[in-house]
Amino acid sequence: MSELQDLVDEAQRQFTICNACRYCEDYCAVFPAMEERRLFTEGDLGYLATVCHDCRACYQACMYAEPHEFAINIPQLMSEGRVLTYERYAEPRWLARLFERARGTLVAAVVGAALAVALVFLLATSADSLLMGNEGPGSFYTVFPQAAMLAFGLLLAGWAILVCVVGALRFWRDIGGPTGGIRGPRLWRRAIGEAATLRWMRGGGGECHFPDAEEPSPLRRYTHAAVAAGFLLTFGATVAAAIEENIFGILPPYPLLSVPVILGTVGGVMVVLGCIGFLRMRREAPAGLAAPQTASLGLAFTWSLLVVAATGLALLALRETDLMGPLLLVHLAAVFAFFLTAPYGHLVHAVYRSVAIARNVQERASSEPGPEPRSEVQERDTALV
Amino acid sequence: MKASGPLDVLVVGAGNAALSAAIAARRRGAAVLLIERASRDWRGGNSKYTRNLRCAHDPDGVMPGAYGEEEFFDDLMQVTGPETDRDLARLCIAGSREAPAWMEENGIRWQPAMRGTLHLGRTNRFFLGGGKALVNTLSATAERIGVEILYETGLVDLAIAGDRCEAVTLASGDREWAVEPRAVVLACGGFEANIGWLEEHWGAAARNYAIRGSRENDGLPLRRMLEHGAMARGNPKGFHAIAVDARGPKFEGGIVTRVDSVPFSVMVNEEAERFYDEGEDLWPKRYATWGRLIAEQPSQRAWSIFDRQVVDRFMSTVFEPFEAASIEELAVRCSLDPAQLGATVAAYNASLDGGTYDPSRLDGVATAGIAPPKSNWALPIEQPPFYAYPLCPGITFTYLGLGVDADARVRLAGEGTFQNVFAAGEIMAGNILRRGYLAGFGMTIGTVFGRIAGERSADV
Ligand SMILES: Cc1cc2nc3c(=O)[nH]c(=O)nc-3n(C[C@H](O)[C@H](O)[C@H](O)COP(=O)(O)OP(=O)(O)OC[C@H]3O[C@@H](n4cnc5c(N)ncnc54)[C@H](O)[C@@H]3O)c2cc1C
Ligand code: HEM
Ligand code: SF4
Ligand code: SF4
Repeated sequence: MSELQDLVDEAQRQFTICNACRYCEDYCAVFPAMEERRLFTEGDLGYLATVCHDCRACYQACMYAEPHEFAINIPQLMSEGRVLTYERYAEPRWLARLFERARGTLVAAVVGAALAVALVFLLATSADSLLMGNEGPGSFYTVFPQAAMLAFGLLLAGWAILVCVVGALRFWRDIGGPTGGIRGPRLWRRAIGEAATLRWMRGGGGECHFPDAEEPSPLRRYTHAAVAAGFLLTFGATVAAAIEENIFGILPPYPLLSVPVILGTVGGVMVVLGCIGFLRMRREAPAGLAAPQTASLGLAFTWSLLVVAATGLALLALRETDLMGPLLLVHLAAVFAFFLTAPYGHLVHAVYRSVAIARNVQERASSEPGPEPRSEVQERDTALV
Repeated sequence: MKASGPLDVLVVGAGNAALSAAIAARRRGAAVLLIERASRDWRGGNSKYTRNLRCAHDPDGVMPGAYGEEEFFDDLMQVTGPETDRDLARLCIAGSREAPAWMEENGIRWQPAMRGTLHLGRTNRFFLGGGKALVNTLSATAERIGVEILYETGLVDLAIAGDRCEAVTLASGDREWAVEPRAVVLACGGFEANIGWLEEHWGAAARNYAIRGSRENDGLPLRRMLEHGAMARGNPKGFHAIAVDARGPKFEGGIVTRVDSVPFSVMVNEEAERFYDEGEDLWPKRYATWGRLIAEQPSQRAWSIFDRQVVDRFMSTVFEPFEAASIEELAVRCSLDPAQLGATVAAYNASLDGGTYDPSRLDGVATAGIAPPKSNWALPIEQPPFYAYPLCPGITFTYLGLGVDADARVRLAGEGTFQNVFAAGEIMAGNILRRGYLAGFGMTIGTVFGRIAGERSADV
C-alpha cells in the first residue's frame, strides 16, 4: 500500500499549502471541506477526490503551480485519488485486477462476445435462426432464447449492483458518513440536485477548463448531461420493455411508436453523440492534469458505452433485414461486456461521486450556518496582504 | 516579434496595472504592445499573489455593507499620514467606485462576501480564484480585443529628449531592439526584488530578506526614469514587510509563507531574547510591524515560541512548526542556546499575573516587571509539546515611485510632465502611499491609474 501512502503524503503537502492560501475556496466544495481538516487520511483524500469534478479552475488560478517550486496541481492529485479509490473498493480484487485499465475492457469485450456466441450455440433453437430477419413478435428470441437472455442479464446486472452497493457502503463509512445516512428530503434534494447538475464542474460560475484550459465553457457539462440522461433513458427503455413483455405479454421487437423504442432511440442518440463528444474532448485536452490511468479508464468506459448505444441503434434501424441476427449478437456481447466491466471501470464514478456528494451536503448542513472559523484572527485577517 | 504596423502605446509589465492600461488604451482604439519580462508561466508580477481590492461602494450583490469615499479617505490618512498627495488620493478613491463594474466588463468575477456566517469584510472585494485568475482573465481579454503581448521581453532603457520619450530599447534573451511608440505606460512594479538596490539602504542585512512577490520587479525602468529626470515620490528607503517563515522560498513565496502566531507567542531573536511587545495591539494592526522588527534583529531572524494551548488559534501555515517536548529541546531544533531560551521563557512565565484571556479584544492579560512587556494575551508557555516558527522579514513592496499628475503622466523633477510617459500601479503608488498600507489598496491604485494611463496614452 505504499503507493497509497505516498499519495496521502503528497495530498497532505499540497492541502497544507492550500489551507494556508484558500484563494480557491469559492470554486467548488472541495476547498471548504479541506479547510475543515488539518491532517488528511486516506478517507479524506478519497472523499475530496470524488467531490472534485475536475473543472481545473483551481489549477489555472494557482500561482504555485509548476514551475513554482511548490508544484501544486490539485486536479492531478484528485484524479490520482479517484483512481486509487475506484480500485480500492472494487471487489473481488483478482477480478478487479483482471479488468483494470483498458486492457481489461478488451478482455471483457472478448469474453462478452465469446459468452454470447457460446450461449447462442448452446441454446439457440436452431443455429440457422441467426440469419433470419425479423418475422414478427418473438423473433429476437429465435436468435437468442428468452430465458437465457433474461437470466444472464439479471445475473450480470445483479452482480454489478452488488459490487457497487457493497463498495458504496464501505466508502460511505470510510469517508466519515454517519450510520443513519443523510436525513430529510431537503438534503436528499440538494444532493441529487448537485449530482445531477454537476454543480462543482462549474468552476464557481466561471465554467470548466476542460478541454480548453484557456477558454472555459459549459461544453463538458452539457456533454455529460447528454450521456448520463441518455443512459437513463435507455435504461428506462429496458424497464418499459420488461413491463410490456411481462405484464402485458407483448413480445419485442416493439413498433416504432412505442415507449421502449422511443426512449431507447432518443437515449441511444444522446449517448452516442455525447460519447463522441467526450472522445473528441479527450483528444484536445492538455496532458499532465490527470493521472495516466484516467485516460484508459475513461476511454474504455466511453467506448464501451458508445458501442452499446451504437449497436442498439443499428439493431433498431436494421431489424427488418437479414443483419438482425448478427447485430443482436454483437449488441448483446457489448451489453454483456459493459455489465461485466461496470463495477471495475469508470462507471463506478457515478457511485462514489454520488456518495461523496451526499456526504458533502450532509457535512455542510451540519456545520451551517457556516463553519466556525478556526481562529479569531482568521476571520479578520483575510483582508491582509 | 511581429513587426505589426505602427505602434501607439507600449505598456511595460503584465500585472494588474499594465493589463488595465493595455485594455483601456486598446478600447480607445490604440495599437497596443504589452511587454512582460517574465515568461508566460511566471507572468503577472506581484498581482498574481493578490486576492482583493478596496473599493468605495454602496451595498450591492457582492458587498453587503456600504463603504463611503470619506471613510475610505480617512482610513488612508490614518495609515499614511498627511504628506500624501491628497488630490491623487481622492482621485483614486473616486475611481475605485467605478472599478468593479469595469473589471466585470473585462471578465473579472468576485467571491461572494458572505459564505454562511464567514465574512470576507466590508471594504474589500475578493477576486474569484485570486490574483492569478485575475491576471489570466485580463490577459485573455487583452489578447481577444487585439493587444499584442510579448513575454520574456523587458524594457532596458528609454531614449528621452527633453520631456519626450523618442524610443524604447527592449531586450529578449541577448537580442536588443528599439521601438518608437507614440506613448509609453510604465506599469512594472517597485524595486523590492532588487537586492543590490535594497543593500544601498540596508546594507548586507538585505541579503537575508525574503521577497514575497515576483523576482522580476527590480525597478530598472524606475531607475532609468529617475536618471532621465523624473520626479521621485514616496520614501526611497521604505518597504512594507511582514513576518514570514524563514524556510520559505527566497522569491515568490506569496501569501502562504506568512505566519500569524506572533500575538499568541513570545518572539525571540538569535540570542534567544525577547525584543518587542508581542501583544501591543490587535494583529491586523501590527501585522506589518513585525517584518521591520525582525529585519532589525541580528541575522534578520526571529523565532515565534508557543505551546499546545494556542497551536490551533491562527491561520494554518505552509510549513509545520518545529515541535519538541521541552523548551530546551525546542531550542536545539531552532539552533538557539537552550539555557538562554529556557531562561527567557521562564522569566516570561514568572512575570504573568493572570486575568481572563480573550483573543478577540485587547484583554489586558499582560506581563509585569519584564522588558519588553507583553501587554495582551500573555498566556504562560508551559504545556508541551512546544512549538516554534523560524521567521525572517518578507518584503511585499517598496515605497519609492515616480511622481505623476492626475492624467498619470510622469512628472519631471523640475516643473512640468513628460508628454508621453505614463506610470500606473506600484511604480507610482508612492504618490499616495508613503508609508503604512491599507489592505487591497495596491490593486486599487493599479486598476484606477492603469485605466487613466491607458486612456490618456491612447490620446497622445
Ligand atoms: C504576497 C502579496 C500579496 C498581496 N496581496 C494584495 C492584495 O490582496 N490586494 C492588493 O491590493 N494588493 C496586494 N499586494 C500588493 C500588490 O501585489 C501590488 O500593489 C500590485 O500587484 C501592483 O501591481 P502592478 O501591476 O503595479 O505591479 P506587478 O503586478 O508587480 O507587475 C509588474 C510587472 O512588471 C514586469 N516587469 C518588471 N520589470 C520589467 C521590465 N524591465 N520590463 C518589462 N516588464 C517588467 C513584471 O514581470 C510584472 O509583470 C500583495 C503583494 C504581495 C507580494
Ligand atoms: C451520478 C452522478 C454522476 C456524477 C456526479 C458524474 C460526474 C462526472 C464527472 C465529474 C466527470 C468528469 C471527470 C471524471 O472523468 O471523473 C464525468 C465523466 C463522465 N461520466 Fe459521469 N457522473 C455521473 C453519472 C454518470 C452516468 C450515469 C454516466 C453514464 C453512464 C456517466 C458517464 C460519464 C462519461 C462517459 C464520462 C467521461 C469519461 C471520460 O472521458 O473520461 N456519468 N462524470
Ligand atoms: S490550488 Fe493554489 S491558489 Fe488554489 S488554494 Fe491551493 S495553493 Fe491556493
Ligand atoms: S472541482 Fe475544479 S476547482 Fe474544485 S478541486 Fe476539482 S478541479 Fe479544482
